[in-house]
Amino acid sequence: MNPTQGGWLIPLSLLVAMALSIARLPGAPPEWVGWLRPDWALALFFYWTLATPGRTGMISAWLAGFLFDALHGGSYPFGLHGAGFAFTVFATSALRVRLQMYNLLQQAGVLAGLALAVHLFQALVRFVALDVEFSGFLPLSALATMLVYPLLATVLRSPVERFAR
Amino acid sequence: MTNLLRKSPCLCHYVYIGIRRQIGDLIKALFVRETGAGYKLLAWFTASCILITADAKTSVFDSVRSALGSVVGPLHFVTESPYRAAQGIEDAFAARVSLLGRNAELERELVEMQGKVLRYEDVLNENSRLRELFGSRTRLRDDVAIAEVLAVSAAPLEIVIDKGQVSGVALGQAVVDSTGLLGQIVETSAFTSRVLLITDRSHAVPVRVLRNDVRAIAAGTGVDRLTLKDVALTLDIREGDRLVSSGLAGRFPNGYPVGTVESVLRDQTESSANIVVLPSAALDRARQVLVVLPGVADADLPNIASETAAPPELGPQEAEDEAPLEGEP
Repeated sequence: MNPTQGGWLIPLSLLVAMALSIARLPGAPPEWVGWLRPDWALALFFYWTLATPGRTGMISAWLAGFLFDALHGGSYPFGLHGAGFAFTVFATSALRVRLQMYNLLQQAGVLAGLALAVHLFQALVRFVALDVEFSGFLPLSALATMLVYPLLATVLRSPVERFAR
Repeated sequence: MTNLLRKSPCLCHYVYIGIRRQIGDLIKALFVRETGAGYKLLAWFTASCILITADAKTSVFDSVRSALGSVVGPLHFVTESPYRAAQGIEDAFAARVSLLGRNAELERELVEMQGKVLRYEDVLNENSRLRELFGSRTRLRDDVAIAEVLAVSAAPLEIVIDKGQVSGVALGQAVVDSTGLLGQIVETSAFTSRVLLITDRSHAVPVRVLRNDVRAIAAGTGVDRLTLKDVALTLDIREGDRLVSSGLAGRFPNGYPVGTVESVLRDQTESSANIVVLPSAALDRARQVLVVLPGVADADLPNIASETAAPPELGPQEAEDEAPLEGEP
């Protein structure tokens, strides 16, 4: 009936996350609005590591990062997205036992902390390697990721229960 | 009220304990547990650092990046499709009256432009005759490809356009819009390319003042302005001066509008003047842009390389101006 056990769900969700990471808003919104873009891919890796342990590994997360780097062109050095994803997968699997007992809001809080750490690291690397300036709006992205996570987890719950378990 | 006051430190305490537990577990996973996950993370982290450094400092990954970009680049078209669809629907339902009005307006504009082109041809001929007198070869005529903006990025200031290697776009080509110089191609994939805008902090373009041919370098500032670098206090540059690209570095074609001098500040205690330039191109609004493809020598005009017509009064400015454009001394 279902030979791949919903294995296509993870790549598909990442593809959507890639599209959302480059989608633009109509018109010319002010700068801080741009920083409110949630890090969908990070939230997905967090979610998939919790929901289907063993399906997402650090290697695949690292490799998927290359596609994101290519998509964002010269503004991200090669390997930067992958490092963030691999760290997310590692941290989530290290905390998995406790996180699985948490409710969605508590999980979202932990995700915000992880996202903030990853974004700070990426900003630091981009500052050193590419001379991209720090922005005071940086924590907004982690905040937005925290806010969309409960929605993301709720939307993905039914296909996960149907296919991927 | 007192309840709330008594509760709030408790809440902080719980948050504190929560964070301490997570971090404690992370540290345990990294250093204590015998799972090997920490080593794995360390390995990937090191590999990432090496890759990042190699990519930022050398160009070894440019081809990989370009190939992967060709695979994921079409996503730009997907994310842009709602806007294109909206535009299509708007066009489909545009009222007949407004279309007629627009048509009339465009026809009027066309006649006006044709008149200008007639004069342009005349000036072009005159220009080539004058250059013949000076013994310099005719300047190149530029070909252009029209492209649409797919996406913008803020750091570095870049735009993504919908023309790539398939359409003949290559690294280093200049990009302009209808009002002036926009930037240059810094990355290409099969169907899309990235354009670094002239206002980015890492960008600089050689310019000259239209009024008196004074040369300078216009550097980006990261915001919607340019600044002229290392201009001596005594140099004749005024507010309102128009700057065009000088073509000196060979990267940008000669004569495209770059901007207008917005303010000049001459502080006698400093060694150079502080000059702010407002770019002429609509850097934050342009939807359609032109990629200047490598020019072809104009076949209609005679190729003058005769020694008989030696240049009598060819200024150093002119000579320098021509050399990089022609590609040969």
